[in-house]
Amino acid sequence: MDALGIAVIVAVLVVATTIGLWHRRTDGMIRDEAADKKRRAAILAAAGVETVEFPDRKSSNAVASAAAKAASGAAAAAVHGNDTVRAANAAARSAAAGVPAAPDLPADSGIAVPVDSGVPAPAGPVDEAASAEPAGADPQLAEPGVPGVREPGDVAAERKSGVVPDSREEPGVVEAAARDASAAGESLDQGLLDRLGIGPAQATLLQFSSAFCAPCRAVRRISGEVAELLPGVQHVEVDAESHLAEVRELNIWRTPTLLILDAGGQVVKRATGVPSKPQLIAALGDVLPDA
Amino acid sequence: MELDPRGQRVAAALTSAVIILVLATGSGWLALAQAVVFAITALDPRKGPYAYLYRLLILPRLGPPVEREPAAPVRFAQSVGFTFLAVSAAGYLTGLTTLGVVAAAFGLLAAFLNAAFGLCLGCEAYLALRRLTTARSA
Repeated sequence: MDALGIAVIVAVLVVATTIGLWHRRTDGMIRDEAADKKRRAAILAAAGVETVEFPDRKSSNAVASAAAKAASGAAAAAVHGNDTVRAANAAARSAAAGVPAAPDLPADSGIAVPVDSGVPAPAGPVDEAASAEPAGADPQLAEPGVPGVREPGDVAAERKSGVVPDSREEPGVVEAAARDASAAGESLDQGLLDRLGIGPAQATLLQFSSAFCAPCRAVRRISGEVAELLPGVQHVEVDAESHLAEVRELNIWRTPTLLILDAGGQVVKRATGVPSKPQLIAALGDVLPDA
Repeated sequence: MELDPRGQRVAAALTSAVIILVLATGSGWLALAQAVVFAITALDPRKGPYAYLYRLLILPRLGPPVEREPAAPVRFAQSVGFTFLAVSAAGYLTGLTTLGVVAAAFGLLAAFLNAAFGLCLGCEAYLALRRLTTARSA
């Protein structure tokens, strides 16, 4: 009997049990991409690392949708009595930073609404609203921009033309983007979507699998069933090994990873491991437009 | 080729027990034996010695499997196990005991996680390894 060997055995068993229990707890958890991004940024900030915002290199369509998203994000923040000036400032700042404005952005994108409806609210509820609506609350996440955000004329025009950007009247990218204010994950450019073979849909379950991955099969089954159950949802499975560039771009480290994309091609949620069917349906409920 | 997942769990449990014995006794030959078992199972999971034991002793009491799993992940995991135990055996048998202990410890970690939680460590790490080992230009 070897004392060192016994010590190693005990240590390994303890470590393995910890890893196993942790894995069991976290496996398949569907996390909100925006909240995750915020948390990562907070951790980096605490560690004293500056986060670098890369310039937007998306197609004009994507820029339009991003701008509309920022607008609707601010609107949502206002609805919840949030700090609208902060969000609007952030949008204005990114606009001033020289990011090209969306050419086909509709006039009534709703960015000025907050000034109207932003009634001061007690501090507690504001915080709750902020955590419930990460996109609206976080100035860092406000996508580049809408010029002339806080001009009084716009406010007046806004007051006349209605409050929230109308999703029924504007089919296409903006409609889809405006619908979901909580989506502030990565917005995928069209080239990436094409390379992964993703067609348009209300919501996309994008699964990354690999050959040596036993749980990928379970995710495939669950995603397929959910896609069949819910209209407007498509399931796309991608072999991670043959798309390593995209895997890097989307920050995927393990298989199976399931991304939920909204109609505008934004990564809204992410799950590593095997999510349960009810969890997945609930997560899609946040992404899909209200029936 | 499809496999009975319960057989893999049993095999992982047996593997864990053998590696615990390796660590407790410091026997390089036992590590080598386990490496050979890994190698055979990696080549054909149904011909692995532990798979025979499972079919002979346990399967008759359990009845036929409800679902089966693909063999590729299992074979990959077995080759990862083979690598660790081969290094461990080499370490013990050449006098580099520390190397033997460390490699066996990793083997035990992977085998125990598989046996107790059904978690395949090599499969989890596979994509990360591919990401790190291939050129960025891909």
